[in-house]
Amino acid sequence: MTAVRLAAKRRYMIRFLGAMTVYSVFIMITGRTIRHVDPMWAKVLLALLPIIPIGVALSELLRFVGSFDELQRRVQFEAVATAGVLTCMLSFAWGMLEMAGLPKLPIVLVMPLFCASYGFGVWRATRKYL
Amino acid sequence: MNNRLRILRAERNWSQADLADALGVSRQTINAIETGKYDPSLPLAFKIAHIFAAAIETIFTPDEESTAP
Repeated sequence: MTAVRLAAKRRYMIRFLGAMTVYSVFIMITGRTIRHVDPMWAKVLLALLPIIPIGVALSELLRFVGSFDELQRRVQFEAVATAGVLTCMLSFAWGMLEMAGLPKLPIVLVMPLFCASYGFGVWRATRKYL
Repeated sequence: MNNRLRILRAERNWSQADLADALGVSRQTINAIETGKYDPSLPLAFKIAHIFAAAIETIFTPDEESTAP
């Protein structure tokens, strides 16, 4: 790995972990205070607070992917495509099952589903090319 | 697509990491090209040809199926 790539990886790890630490703190703040806050606008602001560090983490991820070579980008593309297809299929299938009487799941579960599908996609593409 | 990358690299006593650094790609990418798991883009293929001072078609050759009518 070249020095430039190593520096990009180090910068990404530091900033991503920093953003996820802030996210954890914001989630705790939101979880503990949202029920006790009265005006609706304050509830909305508190609920959206954890989105800020998630946005920072995702922008750092995009910057990191920008430092990849063409094969690494191919792996990422196939992983994201796999995640998109699986997330659409599974969330749509569960939506239809809810109409059949199965329990309603919160929409917030879509993101972990996408992340798990992305992990599966990276594993699949890595096996294919590397 | 077939290629002679491993042979050309061995002739110069270069490791995969040496070639990867010269091309600005990862060592895994060189390995994937050598093992035929990944076909490089045209710009990367030209860069490889330039580094080995060889014509692109002497390094990369199409599979028989891809040239069949």
